[in-house]
Amino acid sequence: MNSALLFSLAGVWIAVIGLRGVLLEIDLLRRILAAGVLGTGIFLVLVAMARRMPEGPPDPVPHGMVLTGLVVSVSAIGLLLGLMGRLRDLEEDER
Amino acid sequence: MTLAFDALLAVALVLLADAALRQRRTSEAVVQFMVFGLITALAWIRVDAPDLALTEAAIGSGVTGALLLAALRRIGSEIPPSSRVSWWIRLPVEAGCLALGGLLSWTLWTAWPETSGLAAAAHQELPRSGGTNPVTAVVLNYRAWDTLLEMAVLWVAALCAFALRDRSPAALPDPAGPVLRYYLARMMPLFGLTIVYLVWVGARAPGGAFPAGALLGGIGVLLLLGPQPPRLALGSRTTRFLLAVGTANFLFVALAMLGHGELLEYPVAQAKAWILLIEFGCTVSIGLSFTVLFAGCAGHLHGEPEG
Amino acid sequence: MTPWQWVGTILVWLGVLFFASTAIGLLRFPDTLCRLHAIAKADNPGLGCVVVGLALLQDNPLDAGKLVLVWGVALFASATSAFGLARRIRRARASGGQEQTS
Repeated sequence: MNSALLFSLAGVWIAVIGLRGVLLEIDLLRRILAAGVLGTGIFLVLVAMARRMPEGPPDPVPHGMVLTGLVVSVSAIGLLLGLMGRLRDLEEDER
Repeated sequence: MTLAFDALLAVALVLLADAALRQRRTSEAVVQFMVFGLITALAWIRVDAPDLALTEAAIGSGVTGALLLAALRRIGSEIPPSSRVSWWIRLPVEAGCLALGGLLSWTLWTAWPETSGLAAAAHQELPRSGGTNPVTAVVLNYRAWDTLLEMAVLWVAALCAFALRDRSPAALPDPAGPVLRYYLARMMPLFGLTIVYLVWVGARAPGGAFPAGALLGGIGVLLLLGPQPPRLALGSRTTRFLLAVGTANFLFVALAMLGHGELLEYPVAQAKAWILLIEFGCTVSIGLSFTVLFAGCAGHLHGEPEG
Repeated sequence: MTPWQWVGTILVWLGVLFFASTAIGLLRFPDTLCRLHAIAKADNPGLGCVVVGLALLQDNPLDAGKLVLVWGVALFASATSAFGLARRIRRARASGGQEQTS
């Protein structure tokens, strides 16, 4: 039981919590939050697996994937929030 | 001892994630999500990923937090969490998620890999890659194609934010008036220095274009909340140029390498210089894209350069 | 451990105490302005003790200087944001008392 395994297990459960939120939440903003949690959980699993060998330097390839993935996930959240704002505007127009 | 700390951190992360999605008020859920992001930065340090920790610290509470709070300000709604889903949908989904989590945990526990995969090759080629930071080598040399396409994705996201902009741009809040003006005036040189330093040092130490770009995005958000917010207009040539420069610069370098070898194949002696050139372009685009995304959520994107 | 390292370690633990007091204050204080007061304890003496303690534990005086610079920047930022928060609360109270307590 090393800390990398701990964090990867935590990542799995964080991703599951996020997945549950994405599937079950009604409110759009909460669903976006859940998607963010899901992404973070997956990143945690990836980066914990990068530390799978207890000695020596960590595997830089997952680090590279997650680094760009972080930035892209932020832009995805921003876009989702923009879409949500426009959806609210359209719903208000209909009333 | 450190294992106990890591265990505490891991459990805290899971509990935070669950708590964030169970809050009754959406504003509290957003705040807890920001805290979750900050604690994740701690987790990145504990698994020896300092570049990720830098980026997550700037993004998790900074940019993402600002995006969510801006969106919350526009559309605050107080629907309690998952209260209106009927039980015959909720129970199978929860059971399925639990089963999935159990299966994945069991797989990780029993089949924890011991091979080094690509790590050995990555470290072996490091001296020829143009620096001593293996993450920078992966992102901007071995997997440079992926990064180029990701910069394009970021560019498209910023353009979509402009497409989704409010018809009548709202006024941004100016929460801290004179104090913020004083702060920004004093801190801008330090901000600029930090960003240039982060990109420069990324060749040999944790850093690089992505933490620097995230920091620049945070600075952009701060400027938008300050006394003289920059006007982000789709029609403005400056805005369009700065948004595109990351991808275009990267593509230009990729094509320039065709003369020497394949696309994106840097000559070993010049690798560091080309990588730095690409990184500075990427930093600017990442920062401005984040700022544009925030302005879109806050309802402050314009179409024309002059009002 | 040299005497400086003892002092440094004790200072770090003292800083942790200040952070703990801030956490308790955030949970127990009734009102956002009081909580700002609690946060100031983390930013000022809390971070200060941790930073000075860590600076004493460094081998390189340049690293120690960088740590103190971090403290200065954090102080500056926290003062600015505290002002912004307090101003918003005062305006909210003046126009009807609808402040978010979270």
